[in-house]
Amino acid sequence: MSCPSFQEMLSAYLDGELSPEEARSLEEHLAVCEDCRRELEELKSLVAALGSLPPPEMPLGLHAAIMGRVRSEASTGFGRFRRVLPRWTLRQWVPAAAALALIVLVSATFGVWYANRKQGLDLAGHPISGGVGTQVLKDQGSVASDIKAAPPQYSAVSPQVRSSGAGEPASVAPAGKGGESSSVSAGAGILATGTLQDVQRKLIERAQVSLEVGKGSVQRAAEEAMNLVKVNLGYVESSSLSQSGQPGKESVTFYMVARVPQENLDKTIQAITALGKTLRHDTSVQDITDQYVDLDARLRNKQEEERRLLQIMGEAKTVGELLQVEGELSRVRGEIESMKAQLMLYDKSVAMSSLSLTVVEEGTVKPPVPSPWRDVWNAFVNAWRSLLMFVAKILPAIITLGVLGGAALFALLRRKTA
Amino acid sequence: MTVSEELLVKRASKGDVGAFESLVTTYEKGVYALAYRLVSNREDALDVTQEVFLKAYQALPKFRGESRFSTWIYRVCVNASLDYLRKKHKMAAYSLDEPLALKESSVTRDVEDDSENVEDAVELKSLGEAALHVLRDLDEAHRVIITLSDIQGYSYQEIAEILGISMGTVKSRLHRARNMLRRMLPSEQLGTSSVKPDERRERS
Repeated sequence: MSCPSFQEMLSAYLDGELSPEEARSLEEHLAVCEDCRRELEELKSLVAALGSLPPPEMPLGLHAAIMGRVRSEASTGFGRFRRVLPRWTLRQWVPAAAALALIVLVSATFGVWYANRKQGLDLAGHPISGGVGTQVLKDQGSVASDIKAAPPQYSAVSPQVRSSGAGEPASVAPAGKGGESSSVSAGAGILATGTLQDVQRKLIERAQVSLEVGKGSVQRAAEEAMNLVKVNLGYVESSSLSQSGQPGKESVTFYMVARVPQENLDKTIQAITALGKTLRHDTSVQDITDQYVDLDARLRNKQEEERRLLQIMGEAKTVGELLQVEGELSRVRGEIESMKAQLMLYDKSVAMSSLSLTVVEEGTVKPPVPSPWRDVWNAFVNAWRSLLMFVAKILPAIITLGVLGGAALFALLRRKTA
Repeated sequence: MTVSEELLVKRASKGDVGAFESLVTTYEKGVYALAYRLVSNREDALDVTQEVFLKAYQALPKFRGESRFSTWIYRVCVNASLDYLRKKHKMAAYSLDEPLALKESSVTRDVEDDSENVEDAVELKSLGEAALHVLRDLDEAHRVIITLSDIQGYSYQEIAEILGISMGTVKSRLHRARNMLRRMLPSEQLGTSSVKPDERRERS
């Protein structure tokens, strides 16, 4: 055997971990090899030095500190809880948690879908066409028409609604077409008051259209589009015609935001899309009935308060009283003004749909294909919104169950420890 | 593991704090000493020791007695100490307030007075101190094995259990670690020792 292989044995020899034969052959080698002997001596003194280091003194209070932490873990920590729960490993917990999450998600989705169905909306909160909503609403004693029909009809009664905002009785007569009652229940706010009023749904419509026209004809299309807006009794809020790109490859883009009476929106869009190739056409509907009705009711309260204050002012005896009432009155009037302004804004948004239009030249822009990712993202956002709605709705039930479950667990714990 | 210790472990794993306290009393010294040698300062060793027993208490239901409780708790200690060091180094790397304060924080504190046998002690102190100092420059695996074997005095069998490695690995890794250490120390210091290997202190 050579020196290196003996050297490898030195450390184990020192620790008495060599077999007797190995030890003997090493000893024979050591007798003749001074290098290995010196190496063994050095290792010996190193090991001896390390082994003679005094063990550190354990600090006072360490035992108490350890036991303090263990006791608090034992009494309040998760430890006690965990000893009752099944002793699952992470591998078992993960699928269980996933399954639970799935159940919650599915039931949340179903719950929101069902709740919305009652209100005649689809999962994402948009109105659905067809008679699904009608059926359910009939149970509530109200005749609902196809909701798609609601927006155009609404505009016919909007002056009335506006006048109600100015202090008239709030009941809005449904403006039927051909005698057909076409109101839709206005939701919980109204139903809760007990007076089952028929209130027209307030829907704000928005449309986005992108067009592509032939080279050099953007300007003409723009003029025609603005003209179409005017013909349909709308107006252009803003418009811009811009040129971009390198010389020789310039492209012209037209952008406009217009307001069109709600009943004329479809007509206008149809006419505009005939001007070129439609790249994109989105419409969205926002239901503000609840906010509208709520604001309207609050406005009437304030107006009642105003009347009362005026009465009081007439009966005021001292200047101090008069001033006090006047102060109140001006505050109430300020609130009334801002509410009226808000109502008018709502009315305007409902009556006049917003239409944004983009016109580009052929070949200059890659058509902005609605990306599937956006759809996925929107679906995701909607799902979460729905989930939150669901959680908010079942929170009382969860709290009740939690209390019951906690009590049961507590009883179980007591039985286990007893 | 003795029968009574087996019983204590069983009861502690069911949440019996009193039984666990007996185990703490038996092992806190050894755990603290090991932690102290690995993290090489008092405060950190205190933290680690508490952490070790807390973790042990939490993990005890999973301890099924395939190994001895002693090697199990030392294994928890080694892991906790190394985790602690890694975390500390990471934090130190980001802390601009006291850069590099850790590296040589406790060289002098490491050594305690050994009043019996003064001459030997003085001689050894210098070598032991020097060895401890260069030990810090060794990589984790070799530092740990030197600490377990030469400072704490555990047998190859125990070390194999604590680290979860084979006896052969213990043997070769220890050989490598000792040689690294030997080469890092001045040879005149190594040569002056008069202590024989069989005078190594009996601990474990």
